[in-house]
Amino acid sequence: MVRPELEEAVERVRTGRIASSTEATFFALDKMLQALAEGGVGEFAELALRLTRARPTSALLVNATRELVREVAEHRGEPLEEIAERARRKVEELKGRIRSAIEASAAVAERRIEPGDTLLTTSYSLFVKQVVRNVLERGRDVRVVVTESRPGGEGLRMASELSSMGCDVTLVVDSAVRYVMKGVDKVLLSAECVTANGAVVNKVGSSQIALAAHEARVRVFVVTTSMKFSPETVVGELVEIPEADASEVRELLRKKGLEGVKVKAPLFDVTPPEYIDAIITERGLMAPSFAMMAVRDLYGWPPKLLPLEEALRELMKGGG
Amino acid sequence: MGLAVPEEVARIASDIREMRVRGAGRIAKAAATALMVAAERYPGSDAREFREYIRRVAELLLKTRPTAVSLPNAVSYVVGPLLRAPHVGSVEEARRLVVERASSFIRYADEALERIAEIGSRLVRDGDVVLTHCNSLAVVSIIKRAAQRGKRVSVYATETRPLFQGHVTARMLLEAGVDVTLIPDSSVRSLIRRVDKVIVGADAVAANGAVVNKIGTSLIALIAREHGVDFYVATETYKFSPFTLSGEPVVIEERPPTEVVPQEFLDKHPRLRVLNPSFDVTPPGYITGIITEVGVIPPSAALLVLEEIYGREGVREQASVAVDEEA
Repeated sequence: MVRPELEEAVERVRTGRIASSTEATFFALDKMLQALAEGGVGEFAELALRLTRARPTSALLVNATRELVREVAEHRGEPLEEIAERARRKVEELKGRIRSAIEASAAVAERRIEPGDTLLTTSYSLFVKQVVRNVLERGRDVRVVVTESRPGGEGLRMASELSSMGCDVTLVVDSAVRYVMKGVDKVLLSAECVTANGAVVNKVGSSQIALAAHEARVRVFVVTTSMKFSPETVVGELVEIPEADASEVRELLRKKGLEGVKVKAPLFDVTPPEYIDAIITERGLMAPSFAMMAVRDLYGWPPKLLPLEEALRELMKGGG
Repeated sequence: MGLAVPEEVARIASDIREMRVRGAGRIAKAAATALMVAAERYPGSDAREFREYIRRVAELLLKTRPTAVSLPNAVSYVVGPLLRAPHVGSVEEARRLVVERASSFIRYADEALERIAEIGSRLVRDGDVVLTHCNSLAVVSIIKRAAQRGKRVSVYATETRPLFQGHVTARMLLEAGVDVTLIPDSSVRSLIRRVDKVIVGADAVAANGAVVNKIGTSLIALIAREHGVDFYVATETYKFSPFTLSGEPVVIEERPPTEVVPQEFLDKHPRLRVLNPSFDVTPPGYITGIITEVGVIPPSAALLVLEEIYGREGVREQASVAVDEEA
């Protein structure tokens, strides 16, 4: 059984309340460590299973959890304190790798930003934020158009933080992307997951931004890390898009006495590779069709993966 | 010339400006009503003064919203004959002229909506999933009519930020017993595969068949085209703009930032700008057909509609007047 406060963590990860998938992954890893230290290997495994199932789209979460689980499984005979210590070190290492990936990807991406460029982005992304920060630090002037990014509205946080960095920011509603696209030089998107065919899963609205950019011949760059590439998709796993937390949308309806109206609000959408000019990671800039090669380099060919669910069930059986 | 505009007329004007009355059709009818009220309430006896007074009311109404072409079309339909008349007779005659034109416009608008519902409902098949954006009486009438004819229709209504007109659409459809699902504007491309056709309203139709409508419409049209989904516009012909013939672009109104974010957010971020355009332009190539009271026309036939309304001469006049003004 997973204790109630961890139960709540699962819910927060599921509904996308933590907007950035990097932040969600850090949060989930910390909770797994807590479950391990306080409840043992069994509770750790159950929580890890629940968390990865809560947000199966997050390749970063799944890939990082896989590494952590391998570490725990390899040393499961040892006393709990030692396993917990090893796990803690593993999580530190993973976080360090993700943080350096943000810097390395941004260092590549910033070279593509020319002085005077107007960029467009959506939702909240640590990767995109880092690119803008670098460009500003180089003294290059840049303007950023940020979409509101409903449901959730994380665009407001993005706009607010970019503006506090001294960036010239314009906020628009999600509907206005085709209207503003004429004035945009480049679109920067982040990623929840990059699939084997180079498609990018990201906050809902991203694919219509990419479509509008494609129509207007505006370049689309995805700034991310190879840790968000999903090796499972090579073996035919489908990326299932979860429903967003639409409580705000429903609350507005309720206030107007419109409880009878149904709401449909997918959390992510899929941008096809044709609409993406390049995917930028800590390994450099690549065409979307090269995602397959990146997966091969990382996981071997055909990808050799620790079957996460099986490994976790095994750990749960052992208890501890 | 110190005649004050009656309070009710001023209220209608401010309702249009503040978007308490919204939707091009409703705005046009409200403007016609305002002119009728103004004519009826005129207390004086000087016919020339009456004409100036009506001109002033017309100008007040025209200034309220820059984009909706239905507004100048309705106003010019109602007051045109009076203002163009070489000489005015008595106040009573002038008043009757304005009131008659206003009620004939309102009657025409109601009949047009009825015809659009009938024609448009034929395009809806049993079992169709229709996506709509914002709130259009023409679209709602079409869907309600199709449902009355026993067709099972379900509707995706976009929220339509910033003012959530999708809620109004949802309410109207819900009351008519139509199955309706509200979706965020950002999720149209995610859901388009489940949609059989898109039907939206219009604020203006340009001479080349481009459609001006609520911001986001052109993005939905682009998505529909990408997926081969039919994209229809339902609109009365009085929203066709004769002004665009002379090459005049349709002005896209930008509304206040506080419609998008609260004032506190703006105060906290003095450097942050909010761009809040009300409308966008859907190119004719993305439009399957325009459903009007005279029939379903291809967007390229917009000029035909304008010629039929204003006459070929009138259309040419419209173009040459503008050119003369330039010169």
